[in-house]
Amino acid sequence: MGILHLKGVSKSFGGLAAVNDLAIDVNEGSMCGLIGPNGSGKTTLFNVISGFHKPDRGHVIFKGKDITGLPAHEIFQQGIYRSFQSPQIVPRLSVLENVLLASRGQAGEGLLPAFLKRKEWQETESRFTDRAYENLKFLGMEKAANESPGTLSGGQLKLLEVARALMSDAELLLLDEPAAGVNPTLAANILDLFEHVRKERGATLFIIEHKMDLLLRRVGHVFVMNKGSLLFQGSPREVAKEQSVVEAYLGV
Amino acid sequence: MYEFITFLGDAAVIILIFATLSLSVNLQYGSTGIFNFGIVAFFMIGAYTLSFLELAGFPFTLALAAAIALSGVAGLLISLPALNLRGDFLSLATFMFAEIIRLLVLNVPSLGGAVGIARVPSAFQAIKVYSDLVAANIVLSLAVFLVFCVVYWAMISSPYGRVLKCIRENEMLAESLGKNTFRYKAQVFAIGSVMAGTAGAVYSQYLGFAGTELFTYSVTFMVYIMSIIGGSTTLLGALLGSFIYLSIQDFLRIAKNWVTIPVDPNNLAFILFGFATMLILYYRPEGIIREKLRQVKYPHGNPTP
Amino acid sequence: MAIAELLPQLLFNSVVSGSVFALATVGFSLTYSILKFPNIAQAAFITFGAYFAYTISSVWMFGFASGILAAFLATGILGALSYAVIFRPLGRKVSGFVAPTVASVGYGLALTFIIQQIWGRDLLLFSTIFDAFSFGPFRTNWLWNTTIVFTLIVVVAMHYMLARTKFGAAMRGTSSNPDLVRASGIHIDRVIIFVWFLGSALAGVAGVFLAGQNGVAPVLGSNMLVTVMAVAIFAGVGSFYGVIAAAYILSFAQNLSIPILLSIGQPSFYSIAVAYAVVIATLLFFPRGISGTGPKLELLIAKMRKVV
Repeated sequence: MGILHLKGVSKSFGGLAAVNDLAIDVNEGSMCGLIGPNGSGKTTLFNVISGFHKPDRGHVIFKGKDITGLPAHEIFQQGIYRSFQSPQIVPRLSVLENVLLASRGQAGEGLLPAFLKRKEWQETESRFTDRAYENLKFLGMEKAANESPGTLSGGQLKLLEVARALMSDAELLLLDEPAAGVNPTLAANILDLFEHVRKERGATLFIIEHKMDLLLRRVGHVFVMNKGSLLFQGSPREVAKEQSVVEAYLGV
Repeated sequence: MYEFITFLGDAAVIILIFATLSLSVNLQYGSTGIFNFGIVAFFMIGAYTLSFLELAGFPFTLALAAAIALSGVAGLLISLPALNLRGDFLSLATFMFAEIIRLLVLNVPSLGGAVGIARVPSAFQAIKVYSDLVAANIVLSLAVFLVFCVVYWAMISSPYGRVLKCIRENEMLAESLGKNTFRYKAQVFAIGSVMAGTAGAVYSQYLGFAGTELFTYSVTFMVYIMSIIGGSTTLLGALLGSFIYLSIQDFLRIAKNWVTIPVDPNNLAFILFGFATMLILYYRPEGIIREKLRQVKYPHGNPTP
Repeated sequence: MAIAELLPQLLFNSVVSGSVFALATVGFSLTYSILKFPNIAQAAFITFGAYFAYTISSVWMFGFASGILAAFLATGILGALSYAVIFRPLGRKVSGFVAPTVASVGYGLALTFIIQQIWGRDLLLFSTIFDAFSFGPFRTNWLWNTTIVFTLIVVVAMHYMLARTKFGAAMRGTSSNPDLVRASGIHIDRVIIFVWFLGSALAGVAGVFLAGQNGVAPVLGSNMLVTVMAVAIFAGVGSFYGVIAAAYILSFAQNLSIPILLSIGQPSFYSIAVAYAVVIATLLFFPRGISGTGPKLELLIAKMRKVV
């Protein structure tokens, strides 16, 4: 069993099956792609894995542990980081603080420790701040650290997601179109950066991406969804040649 | 002269009590985005709890402790169902809750009824001179306000506060980054209720009275206006809002003795505040004193509060 | 007195007060569903209507009736202006429900005290006296009869407009599907202005009926605010039919519980508690109100129309 294992996962909304009896196995430390035409249920699947939806049926197993139905905040604590299709920011916090939010293990985020364990969380804060700053510097964004994310460009917002992913120290990254809406050079850059995260931290990457060429050159395994079901899976080359995949994309 | 100073002192006590209420709004709404439209309910619970216990013979300190505890518990209990509601429904639900308990107290004679509770003992039984009593109450209300200022500041300037602001602006993001948003909101709601209840306790021992006419929904509206004008996201904003609102109200009331104004000053005050609120919401929604983006130093930085 | 004896009169009273509830709440509910915020200033519109009618009726020879018409027009215009000058610009600048809600609080405050400045704080009474008389099994007066007839006319007219006219369809669609409405060629903004006009106008008339009963005072509207909210919540925001049904149901519940409570020795105040308890239950268990069963209700009405 891989680090992420789904079996029999189904989710319907008002009679419409968005995800239908899905079974997926993602190997630890791998980089996998999830593709499929619009409306095939990819984001819904991510929502189920990351705890934003409870599946009607089926199980989500992470590192051998059944995490089905756990709320989103607990899923994060288990070691899964999830990004969204449209960049999510907190406008009235600085970019640095936007990144700091993704850290795990800051005791000062609890009510009582905020009051009583001041020294401890200040020390943690100092360490995390350095780390966040380093991450921003690595991405070339350190100058914007103390500004509002509202001043960032679309591309920089996508880089902010990378910074958060780094900060979270997660073992599984669920990335929903991490390079959407940016120019090809930056898109390639972003995927390279995530690849870097995988190599350095041993993280597993599960990526939804529409830009097939970017994806297929980097990932080891691709899952293809159509109308809520798993249509096909295989290596990028196999997927590119598969007739049913081509038809699914043309048919919609 | 003596009367004027006592008058100022009296104004100060009320300003500080309402500054505490504004702080409650700033914590719940300004920092966390919880639009609790039933603040007056907890103000009232604190007031009545203190009044009943003092009249039953308990000393002020115990009655105050009970008022604090009861308003906190009430806040927590109400928050559990209420926080599951969408933001605007939360405001309606809390609004109706406040009205219901006000009507309950109004119509049940053993809870005070329409007459209210009179002759509530002051916290300072030994003081007989009025001006000294006012001075003592300034110290008391100031102490209460300062304590809650520390609480507020400790919450907001810590990583806990960062999570609150995230919840305020992007709750989904907060959840996805591992924050149990419901727990945070319930905690904030409860602490906000404690602030309001404590203010209520100080209020009723100062007035020597507790009555439902003091706890209508207009009070909630008034406190929100104070918070919006002064600054809903800062500590000083709460104090400023209370100060501006109450001192203008008092000023206009006195001014009619010296200057003839075409408009009845009672009416003028509220007309001004109504317009000021609308203008502030349009041109400067965060109020006069706004929160600043934290500037962090590198290396080894800790956010400057 | 046995409840059975009181029942007809209680039912009649419920229809009267339910009518007032309905008139006061329609506007609140419609603006809530379209602009997504509770308009607290609705209370001030109710008060304004009463005062305006008072002034007109004391100078115009047709008295009370002219007061009703004047209140309808004047409050309607006030409402439409309020949207154009305050809530539309605010809605364009700031998103979310908080800003317009707090703005409506401030606006309602300013309006109420402007009214108080113009007319003073004392209780004013209409010069018309409404003598009680018997009308079949009921004791009533011309104020009550007018209230019921007016509301009936409004309901029928609204139903016709909503069901049969293009503009009415646009009204129904504006809250749920604004793009569709735009595509049909109707200016959404005109729909919204009309909703504000109509909703405020009806609130103003509700104020006149309330004042005819209790006199004109600055707190007239504020006293109604909680009831308006209760009816709107119970109705489920946005459905006109839901508001009508909710208004009468809550009015019945409140009125009918009085003798029941008295007969078991409880104070009559609890009748209001019954209404509010219904509201709380709605919020907790049926967040979309009784019109959350909207499609079912409309099916029912459609069936009834075939029969009648």
